[in-house]
This record gives sequence, C-alpha cells and structure tokens, in this order.
Amino acid sequence: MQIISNFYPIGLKINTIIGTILSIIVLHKAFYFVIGMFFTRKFKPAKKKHKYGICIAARNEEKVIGNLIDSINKQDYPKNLYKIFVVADNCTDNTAKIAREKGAICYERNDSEHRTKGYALQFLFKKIDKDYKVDSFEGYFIFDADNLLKSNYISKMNDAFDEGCKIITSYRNTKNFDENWVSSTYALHWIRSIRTNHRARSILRLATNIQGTGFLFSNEIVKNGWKYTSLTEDRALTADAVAQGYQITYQDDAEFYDEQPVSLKVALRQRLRWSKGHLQAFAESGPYLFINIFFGKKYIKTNWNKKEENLSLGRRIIESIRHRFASFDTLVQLTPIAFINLVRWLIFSVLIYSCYTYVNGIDNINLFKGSVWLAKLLRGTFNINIYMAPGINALFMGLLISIWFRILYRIGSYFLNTFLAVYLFIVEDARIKKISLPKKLLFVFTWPTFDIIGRYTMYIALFKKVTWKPIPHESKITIDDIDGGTK
Amino acid sequence: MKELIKQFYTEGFATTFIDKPVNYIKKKTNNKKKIKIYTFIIKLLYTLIFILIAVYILYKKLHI
Repeated sequence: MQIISNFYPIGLKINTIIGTILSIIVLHKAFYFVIGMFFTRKFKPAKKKHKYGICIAARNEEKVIGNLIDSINKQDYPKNLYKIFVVADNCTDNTAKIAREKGAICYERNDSEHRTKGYALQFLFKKIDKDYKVDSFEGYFIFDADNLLKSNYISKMNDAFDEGCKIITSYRNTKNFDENWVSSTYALHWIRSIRTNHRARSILRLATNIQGTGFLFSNEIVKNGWKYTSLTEDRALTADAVAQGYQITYQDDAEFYDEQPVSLKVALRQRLRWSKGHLQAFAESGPYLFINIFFGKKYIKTNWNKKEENLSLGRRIIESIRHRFASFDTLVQLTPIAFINLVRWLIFSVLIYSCYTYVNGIDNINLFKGSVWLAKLLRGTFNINIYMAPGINALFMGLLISIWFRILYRIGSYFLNTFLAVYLFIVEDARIKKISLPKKLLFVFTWPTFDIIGRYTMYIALFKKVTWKPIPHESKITIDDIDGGTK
Repeated sequence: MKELIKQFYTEGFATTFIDKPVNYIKKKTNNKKKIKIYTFIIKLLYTLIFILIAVYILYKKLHI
C-alpha cells in the first residue's frame, strides 16, 4: 500500500502526460468542426454519365425493399446506365420476389454460418463478376434495403465520380427522425458526422469514413472481389482505402434517407456490434495505419492497384504529407480512446489514489473539485471540503471521491453536449423535417445518451462475443412522402 | 475561394441568420435601396459574429 501510495505524485504526472497526448492527437478535430460549420466540397456538373451497379444486401426486408427500388427507378439518371442488384441473404420472406417484380437482378444466398452483410456482398460481387464481369460497371453503389434516394442522388454522385473521386460518401438523412428519442439520437449522430468530419475532410482532400451505406466506389476496389466480412465491413474498407492512399470524399448534394432503430433493445444490440467491429478494425488495421504515418505506402496490406499519377516533386511531397495525415486521422478515429481513458481513471484515480488516501488521509479536498462548468458552479455556491485521517475509512472515501468526481464530470459534459444538438438543429434546419418545439427539446436533452451508450458498449464489446443480427425495418415511408420525388 | 465565400453566405447558418431576416424585410418593404442596405448590414453582422464564434470555438477546443 505504501509503495503504491509513494507512486501517487509520479502517477499524477504520468496521467497528466497521457491526457495531454490524447488531447493533442485529437486537436485537428477542432479545425474540422469549424470548417464543417461553413464549408464543404462542391462538384461541377459531370461531363460524362458513368455506368453503375447498385448493390443492395437484404435480409427479410420485404417491407422496405420495394420502396428503395422505386426511389432508384425514379432517379433523374438514364436507366440504361445503372443496374440494380439485390442479394436476398438468408431470407424467409418475399424479399427476392418483390425485388424481381420491381426490376432488380436478385440473387438468393443461403448460408446461416456466415451471416454478416460483408459475406452477402462478397457473394453478390462473385455473382456480378460471373454474369456481367465486374469491369462492366465503372462504379458500384452500396445501399441498405431501408434506404430511400432523392431523385437527383445518382446524378450528384456521378458529378463527384466524374471529377475523379474513387470513393464517395453522401448525406445521410433519416426517414423516421421524430419517431422517438432513440431514432432521433441516431439521426443527429449521422448529421454530426457530416458536420464534424465528412465536410472538412472532403475539402482538405483527406479521407473521411464510410458509414455502411450510401456510398459509391470505383470498380478497381472489387477487381479481386469483396474482401470485407467483419462486423463492420465499412471500417475495414475505410482503413484499407486510406492505407493505399485513396481519398474518401463526401458529396453534400447527394442525399438519401435511412431508417433508424426505434427500440432501445435493438439500438443497444446494434451499438454493441459497431463497438466490436470498431475494435476489430483497430486491431486489424491500426498497425498498418501507424506504419503508414512514418513510412508512407511502403507497407500496405491490400493492393487495389491504384493508378499512381505522374506528379512533380512538389506535388509528391504534398501527396505524401496528405497520405500520412489521412492515415493518422483514420487511426485516431479507430483508437478506442474511451477505453484508454477508463483504464487511466481506474489505475491513477481509483487504485493509486485510494492507496494514497489510506496512507496519507484526505486533506481539504473540495467536494466539487474539477474543471467542468458544473463543478465550478457548485464550488462557487457551496464550499464543502473533506478531511479524513489515514486508514481504511480514508481508502473507501478516496474510492468514493474518485467515483463522485467522475460522475460530476459526466453530468457536466452531458449538459454541454446538448448544445451540439442545438447547433445541429439550427445549421441543418433546411434539411431536417419539421419537428415540433417540444419534441426538439426532448431530442436535444436525450441526444447525449448516444455517446454514453457508445462508451459502455465499447467496454462490453472488449469482453463479450458479438454476432451479427439483422435490424428490423418497418417504415412504410416512400420517397414520394418525403419530397414528392418524381422525375 | 469564390465557392467557399458563396457557401458561407448561402448555406447552413446563413439560411437561418441571413435568408430569414432578408425575406422578412422583403415582405415589409418594396424599397429596393432599403432592402440592399439591410441585406448588407445583415451580412456584415453575420460575418463578424460567426468569425468571432469560430475563433471562440477554436480557442475553447484548443485550450489556448
């Protein structure tokens, strides 16, 4: 106990240094936030209309897939320049029948052992290559069965593709934004990603992250098939793309709608899968991204045979810096910082501090110590200090104090986080559907639960085995309901 | 740069803090000169306020 207690002053310094390093590695996010407030990358109208395969992986999605295919068929883009492919994956309903009736090419897959969306896409691309050749389409869209596309979606994505972008993500709006607080937290999360990541990264020619659906990529990426079969295939694809030097850009004018979970139980299940997939992606891709920061593209795991442009020395230097920074940025995004902070807190603030208080007692600690606004406010109002003589009681009091300070910090952060929701509602007012003020207030105050759930599912995902399970989609909303989307 | 300036004055916050007040003024008066002056003042105030907000956000997040 004495030895651990003696370590406390050094431990405090080490803890501060680790905290400072973690703060420095996310410093660039502040610039992303400000850039995203006002700017995004824009694309000129395309000179050429390209040919696309539209890929949809569906598992028992008979209620929604028809509406998605209808919205695709209503695109202001030549019908002969896209083909819709559906993989009816382990379906026990009429998904395949409805997809075929609506004009999609549908392949049925039955493999209950390999169940992730990634496996379904892998099967689909094998079929496309066999029946059509992967090269016969210049690019591929990936959608979830519950999506709906605005009528100019493919045109707008084509503008970005025509400008030479190889991987493009798009604006993810929500069909059922105001159905309840659970769906609203997801809806705000996607908008937050757009405003705090995608827009800035796109302008800076970095690589934003693909988020499962609503993205387009060049056919060279699936020349050797689809390889990403983990719980979060989008993270794995993002990391591979970044490692090879691809930009992942964002087209703000291409808007699609997605259905979010409304049940907390389903949301927790999905978040657990995301957290597990996130950790898997960190373990698989983290080392390569880290090496890339220092050695550039010397070591890459996957090779899509990216055509390297003949650049001048100056441009090559800029490209090298860009690639290394994009690798660093993606690595930071994958790093489980919440878990690192938890371990720090447990070791330094709980274990070592409790031993310190056992040996030295507690001398004049303010009950509302801390830098968060709530602690400052309470300190200004109440002046309560704690004193305790050394011993076992001081150890338990030290433990309680550590937990109390953590709770105080979290409560303060919770209320601060509500301002982000206010910002998102204002800045995206033109795109968010009309919601009554009382509901908006509810959604503002429930929004911070999204990150809380993410934090705790991350902790659980470290230890729990997670398998892929489908998210049920029930929404009957069509694209006509949303924007009267006709040609 | 032209595109970025255009975005600053037409998208995001601008739809709430420029478009709505300007549309309100257009409903209240037909005088083109007045509309032009008020639009200029609104855009100037918007520019100053949001530059200050951006600097403040960077200051807070970077703990300068």
